[in-house]
This record gives sequence, structure tokens and C-alpha cells, in this order.
Amino acid sequence: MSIEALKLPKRYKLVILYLIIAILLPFIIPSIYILHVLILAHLYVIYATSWDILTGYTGQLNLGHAMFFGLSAYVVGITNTMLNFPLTLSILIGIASAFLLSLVVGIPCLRLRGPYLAITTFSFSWVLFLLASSAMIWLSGGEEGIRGINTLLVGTRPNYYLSLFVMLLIVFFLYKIANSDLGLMLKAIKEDEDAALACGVDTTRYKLLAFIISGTLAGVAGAFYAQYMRIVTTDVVSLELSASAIAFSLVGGIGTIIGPAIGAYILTILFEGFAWLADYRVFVYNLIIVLFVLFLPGGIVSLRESLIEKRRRVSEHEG
Amino acid sequence: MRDDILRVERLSKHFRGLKAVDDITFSVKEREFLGVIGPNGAGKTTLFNLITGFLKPTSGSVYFKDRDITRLKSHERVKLGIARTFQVTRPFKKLSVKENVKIPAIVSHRDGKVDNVEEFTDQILEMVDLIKKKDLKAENLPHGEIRKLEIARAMATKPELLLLDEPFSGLTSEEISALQDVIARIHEEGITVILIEHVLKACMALSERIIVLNYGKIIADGSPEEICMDKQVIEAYLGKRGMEFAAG
Ligand SMILES: Nc1ncnc2c1ncn2[C@@H]1O[C@H](COP(=O)(O)OP(=O)(O)OP(=O)(O)O)[C@@H](O)[C@H]1O
Ligand SMILES: [Mg+2]
Repeated sequence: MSIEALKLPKRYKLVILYLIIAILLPFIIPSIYILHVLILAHLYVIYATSWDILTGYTGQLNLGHAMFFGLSAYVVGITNTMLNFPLTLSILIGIASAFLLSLVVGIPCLRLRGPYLAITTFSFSWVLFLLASSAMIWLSGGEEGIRGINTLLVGTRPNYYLSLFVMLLIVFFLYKIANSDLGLMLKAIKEDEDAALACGVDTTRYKLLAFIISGTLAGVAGAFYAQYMRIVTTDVVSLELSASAIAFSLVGGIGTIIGPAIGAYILTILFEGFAWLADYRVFVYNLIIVLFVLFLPGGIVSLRESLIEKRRRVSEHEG
Repeated sequence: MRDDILRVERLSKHFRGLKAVDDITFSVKEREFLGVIGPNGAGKTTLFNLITGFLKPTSGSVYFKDRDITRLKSHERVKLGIARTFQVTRPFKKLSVKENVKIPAIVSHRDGKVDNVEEFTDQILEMVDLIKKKDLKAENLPHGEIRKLEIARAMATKPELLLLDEPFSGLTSEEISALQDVIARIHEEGITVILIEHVLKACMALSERIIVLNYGKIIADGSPEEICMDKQVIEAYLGKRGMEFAAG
């Protein structure tokens, strides 16, 4: 058994190493602030990987992913504080609302090809932002936001572990999907939808399935955010948050699940580390997007592949 | 008497003013091998797109085994047993050769046409002689083998009717004769084939019957020998080549 374990492929070793660090971290670094940043990072990992299963894997451009995160967060806040629903029920309704939103947007848009989905997701998230920031302030609290939301677990450390657990569960789930028959269908649709149709793939159905999974999981992240932060402001439906899904994924590597997870970690920590950047976040996100598209379109995970490729070439030369 | 597997009735497709397919009626018998020839822009590919549901007709109907399929979506027609290849090849470039074939194989499995996806995939790859390259990315295949992969993918849908759109184009003469054998074997298995082809020698050798399209209309329908002698066909398309085929 121990010898077998030593023979594990390198990437499994990395995952195990990560797990050990992630689990022990609260004991190594007792800083509440750092744990808080990592909790946010966990939520953004869910958010980024859920974007990736639709846009990275299936090739359907979603420019307004914040609408799922934000709608769910607001619904949790509103039902919990104004309607006094129990928190667990609020969370379920929040996630369900993200699920419904994915149906409402997905069913008409995914039948069509072309820029419809990109335009609709962008517009929907924008409308949601306008509603929250002006038209429906009576409900959303505007800039002040909705305060006093209940929390599942009191304290940073318990929330750290819960967010870690939920994040790992979701990333594992998405990784499994990506490497299953379903994932293969999604990749085929991304590459050539007509060719996929000619193979008998019901492309509309699979695109919708990917969209539902994507939106619902972003809703999970949004609901968690609402109960952890205990306040929901317009940040959760901002353009900035929508852009960050793209930035996280580009930095890590689009269409790899693991890449966007890495990207979300790095950028979240980076932004918190350079707090003064926060005001320029949209600008920095856009800069990152442009730079990565130009110079490293495969993201960080592609560096590893090109390294392996290089080694292979060298060894071929020698051999 | 064999039954009709496909019937096309008064089918038309207009692109704005252009009548790409103009009131065409014909039928194909089960297990028949039908060739479709005609000059560039005659409407051959458009006809395939109408039969497979990639385009909606302006008017007319398509029947598959006496069932009106005119309004079915492409993937639903695949399920019924109609498969196609594309004139301009469209492999899933970033996927491996095996994955390319596995995708339709999975669909066939879900439709209850195939028991074991892995075995079936390998079997198809064996048939087109791509098994040794199964782990290669499709984009790394030479053109001739991408043509084979197109056919393999279509075969993995377990079709009863196979539509091939210029499978020989861009191939060397050795590749052509190898692929000709593959197609002949597919037909021998009992699959009905409709073949669009400009490589006349191969088309004449394989087809039992040929229809000739010109400006969206059928201008001739008959055995390869009859087609070669047809005055109208010679004028519109074959030219001198027709006389040579008739002679040799
Ligand atoms: N999507 C489209 N939109 C507009 N016109 C089209 C479209 N598809 C085909 N056409 C036109 O319809 C006519 C028939 O085209 P089609 O591709 O069916 O010809 P073909 O017989 O397959 O020719 P080739 O031998 O060159 O492949 C052509 O004039 C073509 O330009
Ligand atoms: Mg054509």
C-alpha cells in the first residue's frame, strides 16, 4: 500500500499536498483575516469552475455569470431578513432561483447559435444590477445592501472548513463531469456543433444541461456568500464580478476546471494582498484578460503541459 | 421488389433568388448504391443538407422508410438511421481519433443500437484502418485519414442510410482505391449509400445507379452506362470525359 502510494502520478501528489495544507492551515496560520480571504477564494473557485463548465467546456459564452451568484445571494437575503424564512430554506430557495434563471435564459438562447447567449447573459446581469442599485432599492437596500442575514455557522474557522468542503465537493463533481461521456459531448459541441449533430448528439439538450449545472452551482456560491458575509450589496451582481469569472478562468486555463480553480485562488489572494488595487479592479481584470489572451491563452495550467512537451522533445533528442 | 428507404418529393431550396434545389423528386431503394454527380454549384450538397436536416426546405418533403421526416431535427434523423459526412471535413480536432468515433458510439449505445461502446469503437476504427492511430489528436492526421475518420464517425451512428459528400476529394490515387474498398465493404454490409463524387471513375465503379444534377434539377437518372451516353449529361457535365468512360 505504501509503495503503491509513492507511485501515484505527480498531479495526485499535488492534490494530496494541497489537501493537507488546506486542512491544517487554520492551525498553522491563525489569522482570521487570511482565513476570511481564503473563504472568499473558495467561493470564487466554485464560481469560476461553474463558469468554465459552460463556457470553457461547451463553448457557450456567458458574459454575465454574476447574475446567478447575485440572484441567489439576494434571494437568500430577502427571504431570510424580510420574510423571516429559516436560513436553510432561504438557501434552498436562493439556489433554486439560480436554477430557474438558468432555465429562463437557457431555453430560448441555447436553441439559437451566434451571439445570442452572450448578449442575453450580459443584458440580464446588467438589468439585475440596475434593479438592485436603483429601480428596486426598496427591496435590495441599494448601496447599503441587505443586512442582518443569519449564518449557518458562527465564526471564521467553521466557515473556512464548510466552504472548503463545499468547494472540494463541487470541483470534484465538475472534474468528474468533464472527464465523463457527458464531458466528451460538451467538448464536441464546443469544437463543432454541426459535426456533433451529425454524430446524433442532441446539442441543444446538452448545452442546456451544462448551463443549468453552471448557473445552479454559481447559485450555491452566492447563497454561501450571503450567509457567510451576512450582508448582500450590489457587488454580487456587478459587471466586475461577471468579468472576474472570465479573468479567473483565463489566468488558470479555460476549459480545464482545475485551471479556473487555480486562477480564482491566485487572483483573490492577489487582490486582497494589494488592497489598494480594489478600486481599479475592473480595469485590472480587463488588463489581465487582454494580456492572457495575447500571451498565454492556455493559462497557467498550459505552462505545465508545455514543460512536459519540452522535456519530451529533449529526451527524444537524447534518445 | 425492394422497398424505398428514402423518398424525396418535390423538394426545393431557394437561397434568396437562387434555386439551389429545384423541385426534385426521386427515391432510393433499400441497399441501393446511388451516385450523385453534377457540376459545381448544382445543388448536391444542398440536397444532402435537406435530407439530413441541416437545412429546412423551401417546399417539399423527405420520407425515410415511409415516414415524413421533413420537420425532424438533424440528430433525430441520425437516431432513425441517416448518417452523413461533410464535403469539407469537420473532425473534432482537439479530440483523439478514438474520442471522435466514441462520441457517436455513445449516442448509439444510449439509443440501444450498440452494447459495448469500447468494443464497438475499436471495431469501427479497425474497419477504416485507423486503430493504430487511435490516440493521436485528430488535427495531427493527414488529410486522407481525416476522410476515413469522417466515415468512421458516420458509421459509429449505426446508419441504415449513409450519405457521403465527396469522400475522395483531395486524396491520392492509392488512397482513393483503399477508401473505395472501405465504402464497397460498407455497402456489402447492407447499408444504403448515396455518394456525391467528382472522382467519376470511383463513383461509376461503386454506383448501381446515378442521378445527375444541374442547376438544382435532375437531368438524368440511370445506370452508370446510361449516364455516360446521355447527351444532356455530356453537354452539362461530363464533356469529353463521358465519351472516354463510355468507351473504356
Ligand atoms: N447557405 C447558403 N446560402 C446561400 N447560397 C448557398 C448556400 N449553400 C449553397 N448555396 C448556393 O447554392 C448552390 C448550390 O450549392 P451546393 O453546395 O449545393 O452545390 P454542390 O453541387 O454541392 O457544388 P460542389 O460540387 O461545388 O460541392 C450554389 O450556387 C451555392 O452557392
Ligand atoms: Mg458540394
